Amino acid sequence: MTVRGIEAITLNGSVPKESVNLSDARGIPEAGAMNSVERYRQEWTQLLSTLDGEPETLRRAAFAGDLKMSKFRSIHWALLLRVLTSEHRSWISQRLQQRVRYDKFRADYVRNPHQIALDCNDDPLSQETQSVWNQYFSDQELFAVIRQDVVRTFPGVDFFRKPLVQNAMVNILFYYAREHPYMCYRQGMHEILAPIIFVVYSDHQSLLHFSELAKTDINPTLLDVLDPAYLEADTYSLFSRLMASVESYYRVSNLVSTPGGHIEQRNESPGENEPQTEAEVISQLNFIRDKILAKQDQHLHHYLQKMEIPLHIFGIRWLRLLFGREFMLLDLLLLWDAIFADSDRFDLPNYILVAMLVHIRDKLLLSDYTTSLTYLMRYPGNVDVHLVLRHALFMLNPKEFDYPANAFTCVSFANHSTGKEAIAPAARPRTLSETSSVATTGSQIDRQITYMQERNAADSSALAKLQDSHRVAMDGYLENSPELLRLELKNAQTVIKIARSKLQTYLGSVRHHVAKQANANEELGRTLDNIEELCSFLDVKFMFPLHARSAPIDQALEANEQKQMNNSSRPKKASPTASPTTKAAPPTTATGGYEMPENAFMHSSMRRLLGELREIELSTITSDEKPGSDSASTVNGLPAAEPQQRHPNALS
Amino acid sequence: MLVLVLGDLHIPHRCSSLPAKFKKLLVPGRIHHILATGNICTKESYDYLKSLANDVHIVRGDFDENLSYPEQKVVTVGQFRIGLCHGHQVVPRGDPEALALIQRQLDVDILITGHTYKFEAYEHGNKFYINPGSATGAFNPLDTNVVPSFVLMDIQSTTVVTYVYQLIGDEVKVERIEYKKI
Repeated sequence: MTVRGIEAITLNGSVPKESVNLSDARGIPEAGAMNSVERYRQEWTQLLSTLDGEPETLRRAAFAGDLKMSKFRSIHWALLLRVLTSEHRSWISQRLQQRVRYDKFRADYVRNPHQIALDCNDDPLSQETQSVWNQYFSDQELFAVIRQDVVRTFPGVDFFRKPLVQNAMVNILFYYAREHPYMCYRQGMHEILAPIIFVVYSDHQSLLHFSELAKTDINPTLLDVLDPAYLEADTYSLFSRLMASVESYYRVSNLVSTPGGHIEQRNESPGENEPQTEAEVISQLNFIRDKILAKQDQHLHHYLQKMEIPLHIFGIRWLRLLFGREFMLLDLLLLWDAIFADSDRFDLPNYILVAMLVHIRDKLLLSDYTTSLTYLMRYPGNVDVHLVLRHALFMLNPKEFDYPANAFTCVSFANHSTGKEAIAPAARPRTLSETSSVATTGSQIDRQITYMQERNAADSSALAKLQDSHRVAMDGYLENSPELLRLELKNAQTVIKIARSKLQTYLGSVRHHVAKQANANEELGRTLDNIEELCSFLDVKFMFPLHARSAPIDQALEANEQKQMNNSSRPKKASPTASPTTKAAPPTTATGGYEMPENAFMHSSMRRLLGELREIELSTITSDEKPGSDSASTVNGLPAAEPQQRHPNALS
Repeated sequence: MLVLVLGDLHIPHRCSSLPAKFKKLLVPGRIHHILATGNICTKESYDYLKSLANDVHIVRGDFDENLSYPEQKVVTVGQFRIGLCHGHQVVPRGDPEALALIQRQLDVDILITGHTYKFEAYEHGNKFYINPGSATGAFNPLDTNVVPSFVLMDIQSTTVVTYVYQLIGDEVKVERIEYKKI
């Protein structure tokens, strides 16, 4: 077989040139088809020549996401996972070996006691472990368990509905379970297998397509390596190699494997006592949290710990399926290219997990426990997989990979605050609105943002509650609910405010640096002025009391009831919402933005504002000295309660 | 296709239960059909059989509580017609010629009867006759020393492989008999 392989390679060099001539001879109509064949062939020769020259290029291509359009992705994967060696002249014999081994499984593991002659000691009810009958019935159950999962693989993708594919998947998983009795079959493996079989199958199909177009002159090595008849065998070798790397995610420590049968019994038991036994994957997740996440994003790390969200709630699934549920299939393949290219130890998934977390950090930090969990359990679909990948690669190996330019703007004010506090006051331009923002530097902004985050969390939980109650009561009115709209607007407003205050800080530091340079040109100054103008645009004045609990629409109440409602509920409810505006934005603008819903409300809010004003002035002085105590009060205590407690003091 | 054949349990009148060794062998999920030759007596025994396989066929023995069971029954499994009859109607008891009469009446390939409390399986005139004996080893007026036994048939298109399970002493002994339909 090897000899045939060498012949193929020597032929290979001359093939493309011939085909060019051929396509020319056949004329224009066929040129398009021949071109694609040619490109196909060219890709193949290129692959082989790369292997001869510098195999490391393949690794780099996988990292860069260049396999996206490749017609030989399965071969790339086989090379990266070392199922095939880079010695492509022996590929045919390597494949042959794997295929023979796979065929042997069929003979070894599928024995039908109905048909084969048995020794007298065996009978259908035997409970002996060596019994063929017993094994047969165990296998039946294992098959049933596997099939149950396989038919549900990627419900959205039609490819996995084909009986051919499903049967192949069931067989592969079954042989894997029998070949590795200590692993057996565990739920999730089918989702690891699914992308692999997809890639192998598509490569086979494109080969079929091109060999049809090109009639005869397709490289025999290629024909053999991507032989559609061996879909199962070739997929199995990829799958088992991949499983060898990720089996620690699946391994359950306390189960002792028994030789031979009784697979299904061991299969069921781990399901019940999963949390205690899955020490291996959990310790890995703890490692990720303490060593990678804590280093990369302290804020998020603290947040997760504060929220008591352990990584294994979602991490086990992310790792076990290698992010199969979190990304679209085609995005997933891209991710896997890089994972396979990395190393056998599979370090990259750890970093991808962190990158995925960091990627949705803004959403997480701005939401409460339930919303965070929803984000983690159902990872947002609009995430750019390239960005996640490049960020993960950067974390894995900062020397080799660049930090993705448009990635995550981490809001880590805690680190930079000391520097900015010194810079900002001096460099700030003297606009009216800036009088307060001079004070809102460093830790002030940090606190402010934390505050807004908490308020946002409260809002979104209210939102969720509202949505729930509406769903139960009346589904149709959900869209138009004023309460819902109000909450959404409020959310938007918070985002705008954060954006504005951040922009101002950045502007301040830029101005400072520019001012230091003597020859600051006029154009730059004008640009900065424009940015500042944008800043003031962002300071939107909302023409309705967004932060008052109830909209100006009157509630349908009895005449005397309304009075009571107003007296009792208004001041209490207004307080959590009125105070944040004063803290977040300059007080003058905030009051300007409010309509006057009722006299009582106005009075109380004015008093509150006055109180807040003094508080802000105080806090700017104190915050520099002991910011810890201040931020602690906002973090631990209820934000709503805080201003109320302070008012008497502030007024007196 | 695995078919369990058993009968003459006499629980609880003559025996408290199936032998523990038999119970250990009879696990759900392996057996597809159960053919009972009668004298299973109580509903509890029927429920137990039902827990082993969903498809249970019973004919009436002379000690059955449930009088609605039929006297005779014909079941088709694969390509085989299987006749089921308790056998207390047959005189003399267990006589091959008398059983052959029933076989011709029912026009079956395999005739299964009980009532003799003694395992038997033989070919007679190209037809197959099975008597699973008593699964509990219940005594009968003529014999107090009954060996507990039951039969499992593995039916594959035109072949029946019959496994006979007998509890001799404290050991389960399994024998294998093959019958081919012509």
